Amino acid sequence: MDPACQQITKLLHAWSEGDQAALDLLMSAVYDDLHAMAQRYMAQERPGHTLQATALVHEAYLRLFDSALPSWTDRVHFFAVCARTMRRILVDWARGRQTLKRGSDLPSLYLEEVLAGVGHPGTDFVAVDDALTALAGVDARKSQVVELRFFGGLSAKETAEVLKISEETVLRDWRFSKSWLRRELTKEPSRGT
Amino acid sequence: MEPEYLQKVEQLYHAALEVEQSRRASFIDNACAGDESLKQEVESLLAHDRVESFMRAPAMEVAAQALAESRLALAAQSASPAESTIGRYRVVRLLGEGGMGMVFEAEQDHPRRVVALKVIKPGFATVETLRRFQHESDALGRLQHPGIAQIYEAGTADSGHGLQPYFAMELIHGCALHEYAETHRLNARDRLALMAKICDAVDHAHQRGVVHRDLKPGNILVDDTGQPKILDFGVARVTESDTQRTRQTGLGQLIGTLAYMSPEQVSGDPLALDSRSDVYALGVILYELLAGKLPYNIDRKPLPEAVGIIREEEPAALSSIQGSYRGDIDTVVAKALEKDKTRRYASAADLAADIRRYLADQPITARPASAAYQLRKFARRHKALVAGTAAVFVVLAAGVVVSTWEAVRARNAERAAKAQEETAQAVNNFLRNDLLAQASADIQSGPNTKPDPDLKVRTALDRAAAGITGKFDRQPEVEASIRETIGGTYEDLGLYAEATKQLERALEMYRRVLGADNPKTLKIVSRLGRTAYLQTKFAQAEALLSQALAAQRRVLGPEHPDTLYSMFNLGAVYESLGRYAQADALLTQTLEISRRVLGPEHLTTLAAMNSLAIDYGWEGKSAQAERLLLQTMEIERRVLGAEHPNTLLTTNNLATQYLQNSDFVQAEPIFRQVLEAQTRVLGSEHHDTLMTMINLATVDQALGMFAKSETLFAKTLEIQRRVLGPEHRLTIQCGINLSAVYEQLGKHAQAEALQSQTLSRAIHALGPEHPDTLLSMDDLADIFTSEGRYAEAEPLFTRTLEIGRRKLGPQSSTTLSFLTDFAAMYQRQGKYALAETYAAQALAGKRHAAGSQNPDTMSSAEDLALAYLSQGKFAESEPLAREALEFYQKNQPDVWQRFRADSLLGASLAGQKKFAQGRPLLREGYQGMLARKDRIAFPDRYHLDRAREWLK
Repeated sequence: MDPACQQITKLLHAWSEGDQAALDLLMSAVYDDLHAMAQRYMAQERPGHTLQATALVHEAYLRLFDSALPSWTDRVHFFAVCARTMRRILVDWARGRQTLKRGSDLPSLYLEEVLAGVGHPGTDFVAVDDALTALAGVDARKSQVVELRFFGGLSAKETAEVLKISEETVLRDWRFSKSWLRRELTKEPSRGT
Repeated sequence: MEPEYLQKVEQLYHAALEVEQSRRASFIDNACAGDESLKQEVESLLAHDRVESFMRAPAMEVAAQALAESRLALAAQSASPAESTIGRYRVVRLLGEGGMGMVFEAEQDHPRRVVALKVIKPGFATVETLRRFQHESDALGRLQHPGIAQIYEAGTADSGHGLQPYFAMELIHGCALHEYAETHRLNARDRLALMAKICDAVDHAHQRGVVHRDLKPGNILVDDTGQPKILDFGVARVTESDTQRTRQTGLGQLIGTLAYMSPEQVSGDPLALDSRSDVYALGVILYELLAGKLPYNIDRKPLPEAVGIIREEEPAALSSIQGSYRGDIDTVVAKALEKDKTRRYASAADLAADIRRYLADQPITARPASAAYQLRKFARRHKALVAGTAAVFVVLAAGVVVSTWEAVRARNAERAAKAQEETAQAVNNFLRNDLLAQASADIQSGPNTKPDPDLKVRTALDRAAAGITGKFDRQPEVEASIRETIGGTYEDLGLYAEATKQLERALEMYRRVLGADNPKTLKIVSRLGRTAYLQTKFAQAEALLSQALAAQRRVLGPEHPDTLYSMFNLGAVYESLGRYAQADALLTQTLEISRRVLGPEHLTTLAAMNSLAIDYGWEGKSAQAERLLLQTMEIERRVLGAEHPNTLLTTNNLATQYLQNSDFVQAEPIFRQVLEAQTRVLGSEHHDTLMTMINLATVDQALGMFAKSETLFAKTLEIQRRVLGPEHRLTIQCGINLSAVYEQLGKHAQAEALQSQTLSRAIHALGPEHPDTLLSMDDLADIFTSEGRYAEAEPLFTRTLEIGRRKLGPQSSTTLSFLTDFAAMYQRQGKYALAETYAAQALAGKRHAAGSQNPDTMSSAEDLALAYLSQGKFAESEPLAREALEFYQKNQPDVWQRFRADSLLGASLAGQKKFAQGRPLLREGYQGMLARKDRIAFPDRYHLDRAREWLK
């Protein structure tokens, strides 16, 4: 394994043992790649047909590592990092868009300004992000489940592996959290500036 | 909310879901026991339970989907804008639309004018694009030339649907270049003048560091004053990054642009582009303007072929299209269209200048190409394009190829396989099917493709192999896959060392990424085994194949095609090692499974049949061998074609079988036919061709055409030494045979030298007990015999016989031939009793194996007769001699052996004092042999001498 991979593996281990600073470093390692890939993904005419979102995470993984990480656990943790990063990317985008809507003069260089905001609750990522943060305050695990599954595209099994819980628990959390979030997101908007 | 509270809520939530729908409300009522807020909480959550559309897919997908939808909505809307302002421009109407952008006519107030407003469709701009866009608009602002459509402003506007980048340009009323030329009925001079103006404009931009890169007639308008205006200057570069172009534009449009792209541009190296690429495009436009058609025809050609044409094919001279273009104008256009950019006009200004000189009837600066250069160009024009394509495209490797294929994929939205796998598949498919398939001899001999024995393919492969390095650093599986493909193609071409190199690299990668027990990894191991086998590295081959086979049996099962492949190759290795029984068992098993699982016409089944037949041949089961070969051939002819290398190989094997049975008359024409076909299809240096050459030479040798045989063997040996190496099995076999021919021609010294050398090589390369080694040893012993060096010959014969009996079996034709030669030695030595013993054994064996009606058997009968004669056992020799004579009289009345039989019979009769019968036969025999002296091998002149003796 080359030094870069070793470094990342070390960071993954550190993070899985609770070192949050390691997570930041990991995220910055994958950010650019994921960002570029996500952009490419967004520019497709018919997304999902030729490039699935879940593939992005796998592709990010492959770009950084040219050989398999020694353990599947490490892989899955890597995916978790990607999920966190993806959340940040999408929310940043969404925020950028919103900035524009308020008539700012900034020549925006952000990509998805065009989301016409037709009222799909799930696409207002800023709101999702806020709601998720709120949920994390009450039940951190559920917030993580959503982050991993919704932003990272991880399967229930992979999510269970990352969080070290059973798949059954993941599915229960997922179901409940979705209800909770949807309720939050369809409340009358009280989002301030 | 408190965590504990949430837990409670959650618990109720899940419990309620387990209750049947109709009873749910009351369950909640009871469970909450009066706590209204709790009940409210749970019920409101349940109301949102399992809403299908919510978070139905990962965020990325959801976002992209929404984005795509809004793009469509926007596009529909923009088509007929109700009222629109973009920035400070008021949209009047839509002028045109492209893949990524739209052009409107718009009004501006300050300053008051009408402009063309080009807008990039929302959602099609990427961060990268916009950044470039900002950067480029300064440069574009500096371009001010009557020939260039002016860009007034570039900006982004919030159109209510998000940001839209746009630029406002000079609105031109005019029409496209060719249309203008047509409707205004411009003559040649007018067209040239127009062209010169276009060149001026292009040069202006070049001077300011802007290269257009996408010049084409569609980008050139001519206004009503006759002034050409070039559009999208630099815009092409800004708004459509290269990858975007190939992805979004789609294949058809790409090819449209392709016609104007310079050779260096299609080669995909962005660093190779400069102002001279624009000059080339101008050349194409000029050609089209004058000739009415493009310099090359790439319409409806597949992309790789089109690229090849651009890079390789010389355009037809203008003068050939219209006589009036003879002379300088021809030269000018040709110079602009030079493939080699250093030979083009260095600038658009130079081109414009030469055009103007021509118009002024002044001498131009461009010189027609020199004679030598012309010759080269001529040669280039007629090169097989297939190979040309190979040389080009493979060099492109990942970059252009991948993005082009992405365009195709995006169009055919099909399966949702992982992106990386698709890339690998696509690249591999492309390499194998479109490109290297043309190189593979197998496909070349198909009914629709012409063969290309040119070695350009080799060059293409070499470059491909070199070009892979570094291109797939993060995708080892892809690289491994490609290397495997290229390795396979090297193998098809017979370049085994190179194949091994590629396969070894692929193996290393697969091992690393997929593990040692992965089917892909194992397949490579067995391919390496096969390649080793083809290089006669049998020990290595056996090790690799056994290893692969064991694992494959375990991982894939005993009936998987990969497992069968290993089995059959291992069988072939056993055969080569002389372990016929083992080979027989393994090949029979392979054949049975293969027939059943893959079908009777599958390549593996056919290969197994072939191998098994060879094995039968070695074991002496000639009837079975022949039958099996004929069967195989029939299927191969039908399924693969008569000129497919496999079919030819099987045909060669059939003829070899005849050869082994001494049926030279049947064998010879077949060999000739196969050799001719193989030379044509595979080239004269291919392994298979060389094999056939040896066989044909052997037949000639057997027919007594020693000189012919010598020439053929010598030629073959020289090629083999060079191409296969001195220790390759074929080289050794050839050495053995050539040495034998020398001996037959009486060139003892040469024969001995060559045979000794060959023998030591054989021992080293094949092993001391390999059948070929034994043959060599036997031949050397023969040489010693004819020189009277019996002491040296005897131990060799003893050895060959012992090993032959042990390893090949006492019935094997090879062992029997050792017996025969041994007997001959004793005969020469004068040890007639021993000669009799061995000759008798040989005869018995041959009668059993090949039957009595066989020239080789009869030859042994003659030997035994001679041994008897030499001991005065005339009564015993007579029937044998008679039998032999009858056979030859009936089947081969003209061969010298017939007259030998005459002589032997005569001597037998004379020995019994039946002189009246005997003498005429003796005379006939001797004279017959004398007349055919040149067809009698030197060592066999012994018989002529004896015949003369008896006559006295």
